[in-house]
Amino acid sequence: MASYILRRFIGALVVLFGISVITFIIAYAAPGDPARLIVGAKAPQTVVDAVRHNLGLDQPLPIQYIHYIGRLLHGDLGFSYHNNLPVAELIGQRIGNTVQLALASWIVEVILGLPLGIFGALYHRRTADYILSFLTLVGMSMPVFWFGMWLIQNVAYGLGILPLGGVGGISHLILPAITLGVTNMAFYQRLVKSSMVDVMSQDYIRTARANGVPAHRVVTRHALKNGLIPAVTYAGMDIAQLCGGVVLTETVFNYQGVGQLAWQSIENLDFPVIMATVLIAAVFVVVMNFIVDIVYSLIDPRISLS
Amino acid sequence: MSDALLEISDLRTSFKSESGYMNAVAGVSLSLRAGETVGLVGESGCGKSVTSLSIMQLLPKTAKVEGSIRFQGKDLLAMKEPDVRKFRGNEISMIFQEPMTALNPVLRIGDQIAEPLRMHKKLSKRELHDRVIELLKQVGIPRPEQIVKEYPHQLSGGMRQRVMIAMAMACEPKLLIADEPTTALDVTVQAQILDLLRELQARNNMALLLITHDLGVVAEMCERVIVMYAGKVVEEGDVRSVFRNPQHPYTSGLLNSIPKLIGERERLQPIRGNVPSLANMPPGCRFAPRCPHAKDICHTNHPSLLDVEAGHKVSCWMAEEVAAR
Ligand SMILES: Nc1ncnc2c1ncn2[C@@H]1O[C@H](COP(=O)(O)OP(=O)(O)OP(=O)(O)O)[C@@H](O)[C@H]1O
Ligand SMILES: [Mg+2]
Repeated sequence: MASYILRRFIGALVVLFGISVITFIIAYAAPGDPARLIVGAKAPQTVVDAVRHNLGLDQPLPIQYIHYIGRLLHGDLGFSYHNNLPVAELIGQRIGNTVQLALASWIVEVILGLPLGIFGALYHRRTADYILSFLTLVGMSMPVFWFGMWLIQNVAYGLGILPLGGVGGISHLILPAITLGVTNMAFYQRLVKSSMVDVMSQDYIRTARANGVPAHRVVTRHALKNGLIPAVTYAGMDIAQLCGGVVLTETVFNYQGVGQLAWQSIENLDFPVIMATVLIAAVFVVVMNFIVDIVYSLIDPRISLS
Repeated sequence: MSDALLEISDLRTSFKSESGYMNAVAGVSLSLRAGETVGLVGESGCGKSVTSLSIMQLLPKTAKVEGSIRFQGKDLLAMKEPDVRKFRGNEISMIFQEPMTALNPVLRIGDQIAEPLRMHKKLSKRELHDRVIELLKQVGIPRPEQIVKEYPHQLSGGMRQRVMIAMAMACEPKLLIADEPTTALDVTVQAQILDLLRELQARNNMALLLITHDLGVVAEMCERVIVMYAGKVVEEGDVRSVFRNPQHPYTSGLLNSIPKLIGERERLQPIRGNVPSLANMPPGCRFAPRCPHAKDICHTNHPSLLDVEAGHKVSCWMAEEVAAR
C-alpha cells in the first residue's frame, strides 16, 4: 500500500510536470505581447522593452521555464500582468467560492442522477424509462448559459426570491448549482442507467434470481455494487473538473470563482494567471484520480492496489 | 403419472420479436421421478436451456410461457412470482454452463453460497456459517474456512463450478437442473464434477435433469434420455433402450456422429444440413428436410409421440407405420 501511494505520487508529479510544460509552451506561443498589454498601446517601444526585460520575457524559453518552475516550487505563482497582484492571492480569494459551487452542483448531480439512473434501469424500455430518457435528453442538450440565463430571468428576477448573481452565502449558490447540477445530472443518470442495465443482464444476476432472491434485493445486493464501479469514476472525475472552475456558469452568474478568473485572464492575456488556473485544475484531476482508484479498489475485489 | 416429481405438459415458450412470436419450445412434455437422472440432449439451439429456464421462470419479460409445469402436483406456471420464488434455489436449483460469469465478482464466496439459505431458511449467523462450510466440504473444496472469504476471481473454473454446486445444494433441493455444467471445463475437471454430481444426487435422493451435448455423459450418468430437436421432443426412453435401438433418424444421427473409442472405427457421419430457424419451421416433422428417410407425409404432418417399447417413445412417421401394421 505504501509503495503504491509512493508510485502514484511520483506518477502525479510527472503528470503535473508535463502539464506545466505544455501550458507554458502554449502561453508562449499565443499571439499578443504581454509587455505591450501591461504598458498600453501608446507607450513607447523602449518602455515595452524595459518591461519585457523586467519580466524576464526576453530570455530564451527554457530559461524562462526554469525560472517559472523554480518560483513554483517555492509556492510562488508569480504576479498577474493585469493588476499586479500575486496570482496566489487572486486564486486564494476565489478557490473557496469555486469549491463551494462545485460541491453544491455535484451533490445535485449525484443525489438526483444516481437514484434516477437506477430507476431508469429497473424500468428499462417501459414508459417511465422513456419519459425519463426524454427529460435527460433535454437536460443534456440545454446549453448551460441558456439555462442559467433562463433561471436568472424567471426565478431570480421574475420571482425576486434569489440574487441575480455574485457570491455570498447559500442563496447565491442555489441557481448556479442547479444550472450546473441539472445538466451534469442528465449525463450522470444516463451513465448510471446504462451501467445498471448492463449489470442486470449478467449471468450472476440470473444466478441470484435462481436462488429465489426477490427483485429489490437483486438490485441492492447483487447489482448495485457492480453497477457503481463506472459511476464512481465518473462522479470522481466530475467533482475534480468542477473544482477546477466552471467558466460558463461562473461567467453567467458573475460568480467570482476560478473559472471566471480563468476566462478574464484569457481575455487579458494574463499568462501567470492562466497557467496557475490550468495547473490547479490539473492538480484536482490528479488528486481525484488517485482517490477514485482507492474507492475503486474498495468496491471491486478484483482490483488490488499493490 | 401421479408419482412424478416434475411433470411438464405441452410446454410452449416463445419470444416476442419484431415479426411476432418466435416459438423456441413447441409443445414439450416430459416428466421426472424423484431421485431420477434424466439427460436432455439435442443440437445447439433446440431449446434445452429455454425449457429449463421456463421451469425456473427465469426468462426475460419478452418470453411467453404456456402449458403446465407441475412440481409435486402444483402448477408453477399458474403461481404468482413470490410463490414461484419459494421454489427457486429451495426445492429446485439450477447450475449453469459458465462458472466464470455465474458468480458475482464483488461478493465473497461465503456470502454467495449463503444467499439461498438466507432466502429460504431461518438460520442464525453461526448456523449459516457452519452450513456454508459444510457445503464447501461436501463439494470437495479444500480450506473452506479461507475460501468463504475469497472472491470468485481467486478460484479456478472447476472450483467455481464446485461453488455453484454448493450453492445449488444449499437447501437440499428435490430437483437439480444442470445446464451443460461441464462444457466450459477441462476434461479431467469435467469427470470430477460429474462424479460429484452423481455422488450428491445419490446421497440426497435428488432428481437431476442433466442438459448436455455429450452422449457419452448421458450413457454414463443417466437412467433416461430425452432427445430434443427444434423445440420438440423427438425421442425419449431408457438410456439402454434408446442407445441400442434408436428409433428416430435424428437420434441415430447423433449416435453416429460421436467417435467410438472401442471397437472398429468407422467414418464419423455428421448429420447433414442445419437446424431450421425459429422463424422458418417446416410445417410437418421438423427434421424432415434433413432426414434421409423422409416421405411426403413427413413434410406436411407432424407425427405424434408414440410408445415403441415400454418407456421408449418416439415421434416419427416410420415408427407410426410400424405400429399401424
Ligand atoms: N432471450 C431470448 N430471446 C429470444 N430468443 C431466444 C432467447 N433465448 C433463447 N432464444 C432462442 O431460443 C432457441 C433455443 O435456445 P436455447 O438456448 O434453449 O438452446 P439450447 O438447446 O440450450 O442450445 P445450446 O446447446 O447452444 O445451449 C434459440 O433459437 C435461441 O435463439
Ligand atoms: Mg443452452
